[in-house]
Formats: sequence, C-alpha cells, structure tokens
Amino acid sequence: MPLLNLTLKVWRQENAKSEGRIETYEAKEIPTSASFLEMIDIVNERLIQDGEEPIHFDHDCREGICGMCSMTINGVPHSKERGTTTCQLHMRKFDDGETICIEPFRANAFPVVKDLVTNRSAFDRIIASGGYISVRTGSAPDAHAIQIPKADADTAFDAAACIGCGACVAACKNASAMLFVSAKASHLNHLPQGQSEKDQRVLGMVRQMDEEGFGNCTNQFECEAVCPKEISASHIAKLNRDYLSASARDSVS
Amino acid sequence: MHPRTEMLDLVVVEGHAKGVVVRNLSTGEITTHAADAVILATGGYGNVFYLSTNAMGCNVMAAFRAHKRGAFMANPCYTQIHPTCIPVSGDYQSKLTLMSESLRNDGRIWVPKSAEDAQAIREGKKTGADIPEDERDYYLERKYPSFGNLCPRDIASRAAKECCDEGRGVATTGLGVFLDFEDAIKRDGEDAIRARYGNLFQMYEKIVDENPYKRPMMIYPAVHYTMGGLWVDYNLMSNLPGLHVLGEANFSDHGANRLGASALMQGLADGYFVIPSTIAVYLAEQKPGAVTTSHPEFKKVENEVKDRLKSLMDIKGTKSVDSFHRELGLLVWDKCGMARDRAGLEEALERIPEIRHEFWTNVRIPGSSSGLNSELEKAGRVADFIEFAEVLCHDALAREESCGGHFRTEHQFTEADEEVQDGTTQTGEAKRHDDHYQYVAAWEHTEPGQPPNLHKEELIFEEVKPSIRSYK
Ligand SMILES: Cc1cc2nc3c(=O)[nH]c(=O)nc-3n(C[C@H](O)[C@H](O)[C@H](O)COP(=O)(O)OP(=O)(O)OC[C@H]3O[C@@H](n4cnc5c(N)ncnc54)[C@H](O)[C@@H]3O)c2cc1C
Ligand code: SF4
Ligand code: FES
Repeated sequence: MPLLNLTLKVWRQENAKSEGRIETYEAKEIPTSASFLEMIDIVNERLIQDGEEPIHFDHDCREGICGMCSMTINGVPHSKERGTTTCQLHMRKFDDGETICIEPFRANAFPVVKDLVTNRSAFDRIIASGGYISVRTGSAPDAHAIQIPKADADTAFDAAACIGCGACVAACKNASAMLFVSAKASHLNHLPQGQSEKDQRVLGMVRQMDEEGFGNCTNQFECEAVCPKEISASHIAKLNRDYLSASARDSVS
Repeated sequence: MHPRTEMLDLVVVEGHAKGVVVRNLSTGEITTHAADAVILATGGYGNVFYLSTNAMGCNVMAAFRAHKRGAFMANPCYTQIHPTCIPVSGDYQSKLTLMSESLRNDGRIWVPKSAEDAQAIREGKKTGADIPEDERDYYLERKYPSFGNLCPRDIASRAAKECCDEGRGVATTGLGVFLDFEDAIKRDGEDAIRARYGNLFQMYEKIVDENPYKRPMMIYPAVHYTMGGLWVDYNLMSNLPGLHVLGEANFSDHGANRLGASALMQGLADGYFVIPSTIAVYLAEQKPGAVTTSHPEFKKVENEVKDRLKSLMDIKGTKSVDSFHRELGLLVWDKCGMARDRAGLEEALERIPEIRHEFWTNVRIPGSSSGLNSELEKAGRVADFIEFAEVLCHDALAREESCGGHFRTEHQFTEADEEVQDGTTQTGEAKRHDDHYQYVAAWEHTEPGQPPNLHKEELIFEEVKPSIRSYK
C-alpha cells in the first residue's frame, strides 16, 4: 500500500484561557487508505511514545453522522472535499510531501477547549430553545392518518440530515449560524406535526442564536459550500419568511 | 444538560443506588450528585473488541462500575456480529463501518470456489469479474436455498468466516467476501439501484475507493450490538434497588440474538413507555430527597474515584492506552468472537489478567488530570473493558451450548445427529442444550481478579416452545 510522508501544522492550545500556537509535526508513513482521523491517531501514538501530549480533537462515530469531528483543514472546515466530514476524508486525497494546516473551528460562539476541540454547546442551547412538538400519546395512530406530500417529506428529510457540526459557522466570515438554525427549523416546519409550535420554535431559536453571539447572514453561501451534509441555503430563505410572519403575529398578540 | 460529563462511579447508600460521581471532561472537576433513583442509559459494550461499528466513545464503564457495586451482569456472551461491514484494511484502523443490511435484499454474496482464484484476487492478479459464473460459490444461496442472502445475521456472519478460514476470502487481508450487485443492476437498471442504495454506495466508494456499480463490494462481519448487559426486572430495575437500566445497556428484550431495527424500538419503549410508569413503583417507597450528597458514602466514593484517577496518572509507563485496547480487542475477537471453544476461552482467561497487570504497571498517560485529557478518559474505559472481558469470557465458557450470538464450536450439529438425518437442520448449525442452559446467566462481582458468581434465572416458556431453527 502506498505510504505518504506529510508535514502537519497544527493549532495547539492548552485550554480556553491560554494562548495558542502552531506546531509542526512530521506524519511519516501514512497509509493512503487511512482516514484523516486515523492519520492523527498515528501521529498521536508517536507523540505519546515520545512523551508528549497527543493532539486533542473531537470525534465519535467516525462515519459522518454525529457531527463531532470539527476541524479546519487547509483553511476549509472538513477540508475542500465536498459533502464530506473530516472522519470520512481519506489520506488518498493528499499528495506525498504535502504540508497540511489543521486548526479548530473559529467563531466567538465556539471557544476552544483544547487544541482542535471547541465548545459547541451554543448549538445545544439553540436546539433546546426550539422546544418540543406536541404528540398525541395513547394508542398508536394509523399510519395514513397524517398524509405528507412526498416533496415535503423529502425536504424535511434533507434538512434533518444536518449533523450540527458547526462547519457552516466556521466557514462564514460573519460566523453566522443561519444554515444550522434554518435546517433544524425547516425540518419540523415542513411537517404537519411541526405546525402547532412553529412560531414559538422559530422565534425561540433565532433569539437564542442572536444571544449566543453568532453573526448575521449576508448571503455569502460559504456555509452551503462546506456543509458535509450539503444542506441547501434555500432553508435560510424559508427561515427568514417563517421568522417574519412569526414576529408579525407575535407583535400583534 | 451536562455535555462532556462522564459518570465514573455509582453511589450506593444502604443497598440502594442513590447517586453518581462524575468528572467534567473539560475542566477535570469531580462532582457528586444525589438522587431518589439512578437511570443508566449508557449503551453497549461492543468496543471491548476494539474494532466495532460502534462510535469511539461507546464503553462499558458506567455499567461496569454499577456491576462492581453489586448489579448483576447478564448474558454478556451474547454479542451480535453484523455480516455487512466494510473489511479491515490495516492495523491503524480505528473503527469499522456498517453497510446497511438492506443491501442483502439485492446483493448476492459469494466467494470463488477455489482458494487459488481467491488468492489471485487478493494479490490483484484477478478481479471478481474474471471468475466465471460456475467458479463462484454463492454460499448462502447454496446452503440456505429458501432464505439465501437474507438469512439471519449470525448465520451469514459465520458462513463468511468459514469461507475465509478455508482460504477463499477476497480482501487483501483475506478477510472479505463479495456482495455483488451485477445481477440486480442487469435486472433493474443502475438508476433503480442508485435510488435504493445510492448513499450507501457513495459511502463505500469514499472509504474503499472502488466503484461498487462496476466492481462487487467487499464485506466482512464486525461486532455490532451487544444483547447482554446489566440484569433488570420487568420494571427495568436491576437487582440493586433504585438502579434502572435502559436501552442497550441492559440485557432485556433481545434474548440471545437481536433482530434488525429492534434496538431503537427498545430505546423508545424503555424510555417513553416503560420507565415513566415503572420507576414510580420504586419511587413510591422512597422519601423524596431523603439522601443528599452530605451522606458520607458520597465523599467515600468521590475519594475512591480520585484515587483511581491518580493511580492511573502515576503509572507513567511506556505503552499507550490504545495499544492495550487493541491487544485486548484482538484477543477477545480471536477467542470470544464469532466462534468460541473451551481451549480458546481458557487461554483468554489466562491472558486477560496479564494484560490487566501490564496495563496497571505500564500504561502511559501524558498530561494531567485537570482539564481535558482524552488519554485519561480512554484509560478509565479501557481499564474497565479489561476487567469486563473476563466476565464475558467466563460467561462464554460456562454456556456449554451454541445459542444466538454465542457459537461454541463444540456444540454444533453433525451427521450423527438425528435432526440432521431427518432434515430438520443441517451440519454446522448452532446446537442449543435447553435441558441445561435455558436460563439467564446473571453474574455477580466478587473480588477483584476473582471469577464472578453465577446466578441463574430460569426461562419458562408457557405458550411458545423453543424449537430448532432451520433456514434451509
Ligand atoms: C452503525 C450502527 C447502526 C445501527 N443501526 C440500527 C438500526 O438501523 N436500527 C436499530 O434498531 N438499531 C440500530 N443500531 C443499534 C442502536 O443504534 C443502538 O443499540 C442504540 O442506539 C443504543 O441506544 P442507547 O440509548 O441504549 O445507547 P447509546 O446510543 O450508545 O447512548 C449511550 C450514551 O451514554 C453515554 N455514556 C456512556 N457512558 C457514559 C458515562 N460513563 N457517563 C456519561 N455518559 C455516558 C454515551 O456518550 C452515549 O451518549 C445501530 C448501531 C450502530 C452502531
Ligand atoms: S448545516 Fe451543515 S455545516 Fe451546518 S451544522 Fe448542519 S451539517 Fe454542519
Ligand atoms: S466523527 Fe462523527 S461525523 Fe465525524
């Protein structure tokens, strides 16, 4: 199997309060079939052997569904590969001898915890402020009791594919969270089950988003370009419409 | 919500589970929390095998801490190996990716009939396409004509292993079989297959760098789900009063072999329908808020947790946590994986204490215990995996039969069996011994390093009688 020798320029930062710096590491004999995170595992194993602290990074599922593996690779969140999370990126996409820059996601609302690990709890709080949907409990309803047009089901499903990774924020020069928030709102707003609490949800999430210090959306579309789940920016337009009408109703009532 | 917070121990007050000790993973701070009851929903133990389809963070620590505090561990030997995963590509591998089961609806599973052809494929001298139809062994269709490629997970997994053991595996490591869509594409067209499995094919191509529309996929079984777990009663309460266990962390619902899609069903049922009613049974007899963290037991357990973290940090050995995890995983996979036998299990039970000893004298954890330290987090989990592996192997050794996710090679049907002669089943199939083993094995922790104690919960079948399965 072909092996790569690479140079890594990695952001190291002890904790949220300390200053960060770029350190250089050699990543030697990296199999091309290893994933990007496995490449870091290999480097970390050697760092540990040498008595140094390994590079800290977030990860969990390692198959593109949990949204943990946040890092900016050569300036692009999750790398320049489209529709790919860092954990799904394989080393065959790199050339022997290449230098790779690895940094944490940058945004005021995502403070660095250590090295490449950022605190993205702001997203959890936005989700929580969206509240619940009402479900009728008791006996199970018939499967065809609520009919959903296929186009709506598909759009809701596409929006639900958002894994909350935060790449959209990291890519945006305003650090706006609109793609994330719009995906989460759009998912439920497209479904009949999401209608009763629609206004509450939209207002709650947008207000929380502003409170967390995310910037405004000025239609840069960087978010859409880096989103590993290829969430469409058209959800932002829908969120804006839903927000406008919810605010109007809110000011009347 | 308490993100990045890990439970490191359970606090038991006068025989009842009344709280937890946790570590804030970002700051390293240890805190204690008291409650009227404790609910664990901390998932399965598949990562004891190191490589599995589970997320990297899945671990047995919470369940095992509870086990050491008195909760019984039930049927740990029932582990599910999923047949359709992407094969291992090298020893740097950190996890295995599951390809959806649905692929078996249209894909045909095969290996070459001859070991020579398989070797040529492994060496890159031939491809699957070079093997003519009559030189292919569609082994599931051959052995199980009525179920074919859709036979249950354990059967499909074991059959793949058998082919590879015979030298007929096709991945470079020798551990892989073909899952071929050529016929389905011919029959339904590439677009229809793309509509059905497009995202899975794309995922496969990302990982393997081969186009599955053009070349057959390669798959191999991998650890996927663990049916065993903490023992619970119908109210989802463990034998330790107050401790409730939900989801994959408990042993209930799936018996010896889980069926597809039922894990999420269990999660919903346990969390939404069962526990809201049943926990009341326990709470009804408790005085709310009677136990607080001022009870001395909290301080005691907190100190034990701190001592344990300190002992780990103080080892300052030479080997990384992952290297121990990998070694343990390989051993358990080898001796207590898809097929098990007495000699192998006894070997594992000799080897595991050695690994445990080496771990506690030679693991290297850089950094400190204040602040984020992923090596320290992993070390605590791997330490528990090592001890848990012993319980797992004891259970597999004690269960002298084959049943669901537990296959003992000594206990399989042979030509000599009446059931084979009369066509009820066939050679090589799992042979249960209901007369002796129709029970849940609930293991009680004894002393560190000592074998656990077996408690048997008899299984009584009133309406449906267990029979021999046949997928012929
Ligand atoms: C790749 C894959 C695909 C699957 N597909 C299906 C499917 O299609 N259908 C189906 O029914 N099932 C499927 N399963 C199985 C199913 O997903 C799991 O069994 C189920 O998610 C388990 O849920 P749980 O809530 O019990 O545990 P988990 O989802 O594992 O959650 C446990 C939680 O506890 C936390 N935790 C663990 N230890 C501690 C601790 N000490 N302190 C604090 N927190 C802790 C973990 O971080 C985690 O968040 C699949 C599993 C995998 C791996
Ligand atoms: S919208 Fe895309 S980039 Fe943003 S959090 Fe969701 S998945 Fe990540
Ligand atoms: S580790 Fe889960 S999405 Fe990358």
